[in-house]
Amino acid sequence: YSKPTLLKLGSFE
Amino acid sequence: MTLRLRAEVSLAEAEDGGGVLLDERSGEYWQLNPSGLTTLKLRLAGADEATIAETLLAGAQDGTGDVAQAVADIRELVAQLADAGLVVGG
Repeated sequence: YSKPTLLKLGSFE
Repeated sequence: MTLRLRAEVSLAEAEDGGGVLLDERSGEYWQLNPSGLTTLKLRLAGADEATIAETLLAGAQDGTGDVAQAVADIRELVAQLADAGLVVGG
């Protein structure tokens, strides 16, 4: 089982 | 009310089975792992938490995980998506 995850990668101008 | 992506948010599927969300309004981009993408796609299609939980557990194939934990994880993910301003409704 793999927990669903959300990860912020970054941002751009 | 059905969950939906904000108008300024794009979803792209990655080669590893996960997904990338791009928020053109804020300039932020986010990564979903494969089970996260499955959860979001099913939720956008209107599936309920129990159905999504069963799908995630069926994908595990080794009996690990349980429905209660999966439902809690699904709720946590949807809350994170909403807090990040990526989805509305639900």
